[in-house]
Amino acid sequence: MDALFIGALVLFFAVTWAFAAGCDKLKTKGK
Amino acid sequence: MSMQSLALLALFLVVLLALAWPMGRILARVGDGGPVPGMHWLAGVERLFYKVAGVAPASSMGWKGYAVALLVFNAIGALFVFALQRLQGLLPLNPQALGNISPDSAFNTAVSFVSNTNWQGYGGEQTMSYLTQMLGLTGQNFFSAATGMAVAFALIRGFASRSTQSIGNFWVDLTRSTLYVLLPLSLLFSVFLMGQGVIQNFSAYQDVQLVEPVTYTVPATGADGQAVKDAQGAPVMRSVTATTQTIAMGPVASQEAIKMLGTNGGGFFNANSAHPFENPTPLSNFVQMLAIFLIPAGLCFAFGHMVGDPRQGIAVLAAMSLIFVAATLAVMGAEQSAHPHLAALGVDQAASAVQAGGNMEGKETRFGISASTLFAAVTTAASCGAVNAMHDSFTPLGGMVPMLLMQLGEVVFGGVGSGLYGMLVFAILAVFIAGLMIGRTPEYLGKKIGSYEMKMTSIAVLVTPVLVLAGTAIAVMLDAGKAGVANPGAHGFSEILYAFSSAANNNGSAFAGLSANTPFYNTMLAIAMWFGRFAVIVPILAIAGALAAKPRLAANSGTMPTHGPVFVGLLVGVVLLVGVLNYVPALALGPVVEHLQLYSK
Repeated sequence: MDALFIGALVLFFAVTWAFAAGCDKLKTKGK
Repeated sequence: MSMQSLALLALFLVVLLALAWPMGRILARVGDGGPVPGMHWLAGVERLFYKVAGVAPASSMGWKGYAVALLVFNAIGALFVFALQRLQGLLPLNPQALGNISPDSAFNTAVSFVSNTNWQGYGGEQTMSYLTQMLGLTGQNFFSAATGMAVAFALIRGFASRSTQSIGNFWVDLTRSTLYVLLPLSLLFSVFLMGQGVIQNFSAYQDVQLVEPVTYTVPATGADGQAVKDAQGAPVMRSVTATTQTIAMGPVASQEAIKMLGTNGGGFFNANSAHPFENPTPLSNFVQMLAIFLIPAGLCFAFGHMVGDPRQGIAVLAAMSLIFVAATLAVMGAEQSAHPHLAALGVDQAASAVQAGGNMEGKETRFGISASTLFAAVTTAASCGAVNAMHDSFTPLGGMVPMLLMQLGEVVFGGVGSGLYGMLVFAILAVFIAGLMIGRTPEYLGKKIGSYEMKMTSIAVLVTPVLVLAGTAIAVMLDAGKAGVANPGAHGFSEILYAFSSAANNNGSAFAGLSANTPFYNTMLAIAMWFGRFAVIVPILAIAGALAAKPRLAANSGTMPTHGPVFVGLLVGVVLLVGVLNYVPALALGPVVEHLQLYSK
């Protein structure tokens, strides 16, 4: 179970990181 | 509403503004990187931290670098708090020999404290060791508040700077916010609280003999920890007789201080600020409310100083204050009003010298209706979540207002840092709407608002409603979501809606009655808390980066003033409009229906 929730925390981080990258890409597309 | 309530509100606002102005000057110095008045001696400590951590304080970050540093720091913090809870049974400072926290509860709590939510699915004195409370939870109280302040400083720099790629250095902002603001204030405040009677010790819990046995009923729980219900769906009760009482101890004052100052809200005890060891006196109650608003209000003044026009900060503060006063009056009026069923029986419910009148259910008699309703408005306007009364016992409309204050996005003073950056996002939205109306390119503080800033603004504004409404919808559709509801019907819906509103907006307060310490709610609310925090911070940092890169234009005759009453009105209107559009249908299904049921016969 611990590994599951640690994995979930890592997943949260990764998704937010990807979200940040997506926000940055929106700027490139807007230009 | 009584004169006592109005006088308390007026006194609260006067004292708050008197304290927030000097606080704003200090916060501005913390944000601009200069020496902080009266704390020059801490500069050496600051430099030592940078040296030990290998941080180059002069190096600046673009928004992406800032966001990555912030995310890495908070993710590591979450993993640390999770591990601490899972291992607490093996660790010291645990006189009650409390066991390890279950994985799903530890996961929920780790995300909750890292995201400045401090939602508590557990009861503190029955669950957490002193080490976990101090090192894990109190530590995150400081770091999550400092993270919010750092993001606010970064956004202010985006407005204030001219054609640069930098929005500051996250490590410097984090360190300075903690060292110069949160630690000194918490030290002072915790000493004050101890003077009022808040405890601070490492003693084991004390068993005391009751003067006479007490028999009471509690809901029976099954093997799964959930309330057992009869065929009609009503909870099955069982009788318990107590001859002794266990008095919980612990290092409370040190956690209580930052719990308020950092708008965290997670109580050492399950009863939170209704517990006499957390909030012993009317004076401690008043100062706790001030502590919740002190930094959010001070940051408005700091914003004005840092952008070079104090009137801008005052305008933002005025918009916050207007909404806050209106909401507070609504809660006070609802809770002081007579219950229709009791009124029909001819019961005298008027406030007088011998009774509080109104609705006293769930409120501490030592605080009464005035101090309980003001506290409720303060704690939900700010993203604090500490409670000194049970919001679940408020009247339907009295409970709806705290819920709506959270749903507005925690921008009415809001969390430490998050209230200001949330309100500035609404300010961008307001100038955009005004720009559409008058046919000019929107501009705020000399920065032209382009399509990219509006995309990020839209994301920042819409993330939390999506989390709240989708989360509530999923919970009411699934058996796992409905299993935790102790009050079926409109009130049960309100409990679920309140939980997701609280989690996604990083408030942390709760309607009682929802058994949320289940794998379903621990996981769902953790999702809402994490993304309600960081999926809002990311677009805000993106806005800061985009604005920083732009030149700052001088105001001309066509520039819409953003420091006058017209803009304040527009800003208030935009905040309310967005909140109302997002949440009225959901509120209609919960508190509005419950209110109508109250008067239906």
